[in-house]
Amino acid sequence: MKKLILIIVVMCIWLTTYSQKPTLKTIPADIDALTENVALIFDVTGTSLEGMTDLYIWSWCNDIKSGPTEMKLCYDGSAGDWGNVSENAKLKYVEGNTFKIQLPVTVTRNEGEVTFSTIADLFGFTENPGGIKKFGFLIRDKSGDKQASGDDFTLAPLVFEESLFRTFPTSVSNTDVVTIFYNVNLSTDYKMLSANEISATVILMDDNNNVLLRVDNLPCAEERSNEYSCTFLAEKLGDFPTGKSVVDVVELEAFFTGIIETNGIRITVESDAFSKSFSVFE
Amino acid sequence: MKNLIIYLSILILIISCTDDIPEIGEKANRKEQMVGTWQLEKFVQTDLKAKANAYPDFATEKDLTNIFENNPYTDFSISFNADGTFTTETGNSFIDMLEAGSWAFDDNDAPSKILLQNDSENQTIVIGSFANIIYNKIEFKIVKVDANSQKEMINYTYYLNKI
Repeated sequence: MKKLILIIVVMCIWLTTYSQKPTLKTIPADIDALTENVALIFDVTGTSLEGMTDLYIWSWCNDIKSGPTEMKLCYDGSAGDWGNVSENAKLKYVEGNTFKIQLPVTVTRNEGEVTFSTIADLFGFTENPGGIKKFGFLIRDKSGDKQASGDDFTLAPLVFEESLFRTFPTSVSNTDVVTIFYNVNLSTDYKMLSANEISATVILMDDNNNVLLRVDNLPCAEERSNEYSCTFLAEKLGDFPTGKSVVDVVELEAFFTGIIETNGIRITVESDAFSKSFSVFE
Repeated sequence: MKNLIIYLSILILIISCTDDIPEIGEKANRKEQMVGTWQLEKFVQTDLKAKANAYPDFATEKDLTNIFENNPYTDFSISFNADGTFTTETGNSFIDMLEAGSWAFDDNDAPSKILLQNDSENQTIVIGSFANIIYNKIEFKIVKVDANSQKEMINYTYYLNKI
């Protein structure tokens, strides 16, 4: 029994130690399939790959026409081969547990020297860049014995697409006027679908995910049918903690709140939350 | 003799008309045109990336003039004085501009920017258009550029009327 408890404890420690996913952030923060000069920054802190310096990317996206397509850095020939990842997929070690791919990147493949300038190039979507909406990735060692999967990375659309949440402008800095939108028409939350008196909650965070400011009950306007918006200037939302200012804000998180009234009883309901990284503008 | 009389008549007509025709290429005095108080009438934010990708209008431009109920951008005005000084009134608007100082064009012959300066700070206003200055209207612009790609991302246009 003692051994069983010990094994469970050890497994719990192991799981909590390596339970995190690798993260991907880009510079600039908002990119579409055709954005140039993008830096893809990977962080493997908290994963089973922590502490390693020779790591490779394995990445894929779904082509509507031909199905899953691997990133061209991952293979040299005509198709991806998990057991034989290309040296082109080796990530440049930055520091700590961070690695990066800087575009444009020039590599040698079977057909010769190739330069990839955009995400569309990396997946071979040069003729149909709008076809790639998001891509998945995992970080691995050369053999593939050790690996850690990250969340899918969603690209900004090349054409306007209705979405549950959006911001205006699509790319925005922490000193700009920001409008966040919630399109109830696209919600599957039956409570929010029947809610009234929609308001917004905005949370501003620094680069360590610390909450610098949270403001509830921001008024919303219905700009289009069932699409609610809330406009604000981050620096005017409220007082920042001592020693902090809008300059420290790198990300916003927001959700919308509504009221359902039944038999005189008012119930507050909330939408899902969404987050947005601020770009850096001059 | 008849021909001589006709030629002389034409010559007299031409000479008599010359005073009414302004000199071709005479430049407007932009500084004189700028002097006065300009009140903000409209303030528009444009997503330049959305515009380039031909997004619909509602996802490309946003009129911010009265977006903040208690902080209308129409509170803003700027006065350019003939002696080269300026003052601004921001009222309750969120416009962040120097309160007072000196002003000058970047180029007196073909100005495209107005340079504001006080003791410690400088600000530059990009002149969007002089097209309607004779009607006492002018546009100023501020363009936000991505620090990484150097691409223009957001444009703020200030539409002002001389009062």
